[in-house]
Amino acid sequence: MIIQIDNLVKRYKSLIALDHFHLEVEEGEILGLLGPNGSGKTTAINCMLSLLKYDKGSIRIFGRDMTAESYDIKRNIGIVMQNVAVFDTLSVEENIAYFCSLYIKDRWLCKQYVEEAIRFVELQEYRKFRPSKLSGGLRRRLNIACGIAHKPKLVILDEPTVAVDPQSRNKILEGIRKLNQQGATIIYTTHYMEEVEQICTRIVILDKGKQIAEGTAEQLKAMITLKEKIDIEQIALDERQLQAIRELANVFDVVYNQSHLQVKFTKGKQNLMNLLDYLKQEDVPFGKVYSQLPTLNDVFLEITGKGLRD
Amino acid sequence: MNVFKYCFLATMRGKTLLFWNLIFPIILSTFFGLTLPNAYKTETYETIPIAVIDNEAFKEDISFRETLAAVEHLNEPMFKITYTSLEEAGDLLESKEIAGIIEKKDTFHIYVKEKGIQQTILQSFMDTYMQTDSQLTRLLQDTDRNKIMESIRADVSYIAAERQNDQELSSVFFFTIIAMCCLYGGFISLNIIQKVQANQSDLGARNAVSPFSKTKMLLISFLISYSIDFVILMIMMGYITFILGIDFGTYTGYILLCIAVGILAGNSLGTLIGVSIVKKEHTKIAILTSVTLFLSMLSGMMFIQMKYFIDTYLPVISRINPANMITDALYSLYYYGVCERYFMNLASLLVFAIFCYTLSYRMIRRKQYASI
Repeated sequence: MIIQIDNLVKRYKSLIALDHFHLEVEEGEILGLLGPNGSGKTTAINCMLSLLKYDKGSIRIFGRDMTAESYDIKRNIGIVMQNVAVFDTLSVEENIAYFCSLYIKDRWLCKQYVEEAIRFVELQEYRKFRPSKLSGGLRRRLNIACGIAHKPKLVILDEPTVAVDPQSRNKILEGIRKLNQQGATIIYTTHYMEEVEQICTRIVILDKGKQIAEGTAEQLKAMITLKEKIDIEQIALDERQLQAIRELANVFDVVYNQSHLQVKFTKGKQNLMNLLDYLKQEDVPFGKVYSQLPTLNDVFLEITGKGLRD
Repeated sequence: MNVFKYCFLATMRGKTLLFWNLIFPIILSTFFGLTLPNAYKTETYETIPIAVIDNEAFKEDISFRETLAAVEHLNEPMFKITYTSLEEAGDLLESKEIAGIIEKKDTFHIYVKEKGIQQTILQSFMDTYMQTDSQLTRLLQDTDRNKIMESIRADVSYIAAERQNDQELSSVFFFTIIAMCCLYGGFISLNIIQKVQANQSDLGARNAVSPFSKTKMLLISFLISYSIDFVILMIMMGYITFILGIDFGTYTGYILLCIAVGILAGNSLGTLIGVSIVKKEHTKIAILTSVTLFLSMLSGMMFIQMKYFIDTYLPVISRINPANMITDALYSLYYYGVCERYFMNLASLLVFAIFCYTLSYRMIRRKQYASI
């Protein structure tokens, strides 16, 4: 077990940021901590790193209690902060070298690791640039390089793709996968469900400081009633027709609003076919039709009654 | 070594710090260097006309009478004295024929009508005389009287001495600039401490989660800020001495010692502001700038009479004002050589630095925070 958190409680005055939070992370996992803003993801990370005091509970990393003085544990942890935390007055190369030297005493080994980190995040041609001269995406990649240059066994990435363009985001996600393949255990916090689905081997969903669900993406989706969602645009229906749709097999929710129809189905076969057959039978004209499988947002919505980005 | 190297580079390249620590003092000293000699060129020392009330108490005070008659400057009497009655003296003061009146009753009373350098010198003379009067009485029993009188005359002559030549007057202003530079060293310690404290910046948090011990980090921070400050002060001294041609006297070693201790005080002040105020860095820099300029002003940077005023009427402020301690140490070194006053100022600076560091340490030593 790489991380074991039991019963963690963290309060900010009257606000409970973490409410008896549990977490277990196995070696080699890419664990996604998913939750809306303010759900407690960053607080959990800061407690894990012993930056924040907590009111109750225990945190063990690599099988040992984590404290502010646990330097041996810290040596094997890499952290990529939510905000880009680098020196504006140092170049890309110097920044990575500085952070690497906090962990690695051997100068030559440090130099070698810095080179590898620069190549890893593909910043070779920017090595002499100051961070202020880099684009947002490149700065994020520098931020990651500073966190992983010392080759940690555990890498914690706290929303590393916030405000990053799609191309840079893909590069970052690709890099995280590569790190994992090289043997690092990853904890990845985000409120972007697509990213979590893309790279995480297991997902923990947080809300109001509590773990509300955990499992693989498929396991989480299997937990909810919704199994298929069909949207139809530019459609005109009367109340009788809507009622008939509600009575179709496997339908559990129908929303009709301004010529837009959304029908939610529980598990079942030929849901789309059944719906289209009925509309044909009624001779109802319609525009585009979409059929979607449930997303993690649907999981979150069904469990909490609100969306991930609300 | 790598950590030191990159921390040093990161600090050295900070443009804001470079401006406040080096460029601004150079601009200010250049401005002083160009304007001060001209500003005072028209003023020459003149014997100050005063009236002394010729009453019984005065006649009985032989010591005071002799001191008053003997005190001189540049081989000229410091005061042109009219011995008269209070009424007549009042008329002379009203008609501006004299700068002030001294009346001895149970104690001394000084009457002036205007504020000016002559009045300041008179006030300075009398304050010093009265302060040492009791000591004089005691010391007279076992010490050569003439030596005591000499020491008083030397002590009271400092404002008059400033009129002696333009360069000496300028030196006083430059002492205050050196004091300000020492305190501006606080910018560097403030900047560095910001990057060490997890509750102050993201960089601080990143440093805090590393296995590099906080004690080592603080030691490195101190060494970097202190060494950069020292180099900057040496550049400033070189600029003021060799480019502007200001004379700081012959006690180079003691001047350096004063600067070394002064930097410690500035560094400690910056550290204290850095750790105690959880705000953005530019807010803290604004606070430190204001505090430093205010302290420098109280030590006489903008006008020398302020130093005298604070020393005389608010001595407590003088004793806790690090800018004044540095100015006064350099000042006493320049005028009186290596003396007790110089070492007292250095000791006060050390106490100030220890006080600030102790307070800072109580906040810095935390490794975990309730919130960040």
